[in-house]
Amino acid sequence: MDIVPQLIVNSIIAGAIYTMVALGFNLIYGTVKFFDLGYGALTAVGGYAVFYFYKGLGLNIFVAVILGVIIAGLIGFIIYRFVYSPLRERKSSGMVLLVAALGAFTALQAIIAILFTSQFQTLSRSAGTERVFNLLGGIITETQLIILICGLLIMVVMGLVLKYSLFGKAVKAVGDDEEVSKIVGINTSKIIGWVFFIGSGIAGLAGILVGFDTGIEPTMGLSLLLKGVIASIIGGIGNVYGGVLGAFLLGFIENFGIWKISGEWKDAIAFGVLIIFLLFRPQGILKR
Amino acid sequence: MKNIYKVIGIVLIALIVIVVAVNTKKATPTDKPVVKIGFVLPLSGGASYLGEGMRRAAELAAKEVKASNTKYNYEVTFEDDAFTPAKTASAVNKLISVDHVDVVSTVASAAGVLTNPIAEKAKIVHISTASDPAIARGEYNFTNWTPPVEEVKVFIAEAQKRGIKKISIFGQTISGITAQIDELKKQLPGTGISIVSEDISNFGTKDFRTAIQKAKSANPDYFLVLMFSPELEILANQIKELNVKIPVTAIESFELSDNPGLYEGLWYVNAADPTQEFADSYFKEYGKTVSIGTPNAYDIVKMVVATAETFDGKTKPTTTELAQKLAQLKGYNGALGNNISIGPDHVVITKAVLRTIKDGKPTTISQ
Repeated sequence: MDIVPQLIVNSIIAGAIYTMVALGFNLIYGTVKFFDLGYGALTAVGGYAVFYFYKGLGLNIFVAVILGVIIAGLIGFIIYRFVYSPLRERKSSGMVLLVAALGAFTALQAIIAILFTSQFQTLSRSAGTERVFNLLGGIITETQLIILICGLLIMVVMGLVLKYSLFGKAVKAVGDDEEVSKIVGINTSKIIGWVFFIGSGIAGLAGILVGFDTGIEPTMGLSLLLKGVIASIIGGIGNVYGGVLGAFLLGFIENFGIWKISGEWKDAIAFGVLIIFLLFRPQGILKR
Repeated sequence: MKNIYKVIGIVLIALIVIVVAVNTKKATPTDKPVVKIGFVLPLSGGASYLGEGMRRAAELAAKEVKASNTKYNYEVTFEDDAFTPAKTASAVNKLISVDHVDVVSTVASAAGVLTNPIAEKAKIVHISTASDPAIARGEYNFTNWTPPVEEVKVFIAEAQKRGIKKISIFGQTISGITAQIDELKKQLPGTGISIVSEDISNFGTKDFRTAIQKAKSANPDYFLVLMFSPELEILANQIKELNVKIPVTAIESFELSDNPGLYEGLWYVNAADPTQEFADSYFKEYGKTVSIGTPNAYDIVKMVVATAETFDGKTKPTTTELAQKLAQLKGYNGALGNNISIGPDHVVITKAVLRTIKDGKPTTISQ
């Protein structure tokens, strides 16, 4: 049973990573109501931007991270402005938007591979020699602690902004009914643009932190996106708190699920849970 | 009119002279039948260092063959698969249908397993630089990598010497690694060594913390790592992060890492070492030390040449004849040692070695 504390900590770490991805994904989905697959590649954009600024140009780590988040946010915004927005104006179907998002995802991934090669890279300069802390009797590294704090912090800030700020109320209004929002004078295009910028920035930050924890590669976005989507669906798609709940639940299910069986079952367990939710509770644990 | 006949006569004579000259040229020894060997290598992407080294070695072998007096001409061609099995299939098909190669060579078990049925169907000799013996099944398929049976023998002998009783395995869902684990399970009974835990992860897994904790709780003497890069480095870092002090060993894996310094001072078993003679000639040609897979690529060219040269040189042997003769190859002296033979299971038999990482570089302890 001495394994349990570390399993709990491992579950929390995994949950924190999924939280970051689910938060941005839920924000975008909750507003525009389509699966932005391109979101996955933005995790790699953030990671590689930091790789370039921090390891390539030798900039200060904080400056590099801020630049990475802004670049991911900007690219997310540009994709929205020049790909999704014209399609939405033409009232394209969800399937068309999904295919466009898949195209954006593939193109971004390919561009990253061309610019930086497909080689796996680490962002950390002290891999394996980081400071470690004791949490609930298990070990957690400095980076993992930062991931956990960032995830919870973004959740709290996002929750407060959405509930109390004018911007947050506008985002909710657009998510509820875009046409009515336009009628009451909300500049929906501007609001959605900001949502894409913020959501993509969160994706970039998730990619950066994962890069510091394990490493980056051009294809890293897909698995992160899938886990983020599973977390969102389990928790309640479009619901900020639901995404967080789903993320931690998924982290626990995955890690405790492979306690007695081989790690190769991890993904099968995660997708098995997704199927169960889709069949029996498609709205997730928390409704929007 | 007479002039016209003269012109026609001159043109006819000129044509006859040209035809005779062309036919005479065909009969010269420089236009011998050509045996073509096509390599599918990772020439781009993260594993390009592996493919580039093998390409250089194959070219070195071809250059040496060209300089010698052979009955046939030999050509080597290369295709890139970026270490992606899906691309391997199209590259192999291109080599067979467009380049009309007689022999195709692939790298890694996944690529080898995939190419096996293609080679059987097309009746093309396939030599894989991979360890999974399943690749060598059939009439046309061969492997040229130290087989798991040899590596496991060396591993068990060393583990017994060090008093190791319990091992925890970290593996991946790759056929070559599965073959190594199967061989371990076959040879371990009766040796006093047991596998106390076994965790297999999918390719692309980045979180091994739970697997490490599980393995640690099984209280092994050693962690045996059978993994590829980058998962290998991630696992090593996470073992350090979790402050787990159980020593790590490997079969081949440390050799495949792009950061061998992570395993400084650790012992492991590796596939056969290249001979000094090959290492010297490779260095002389390219100014580089031999890298993983290079002696294998060199030997593939040389073994095909040794096989083809047993035929009369007048007509090119069929690929079926080549495969049958290659299966009987014995006493071949190559880059991976002397007196190499091919077993009845189509596996080129070379001996495993014991190695360590010293000053960040793989160093052989004993052969």
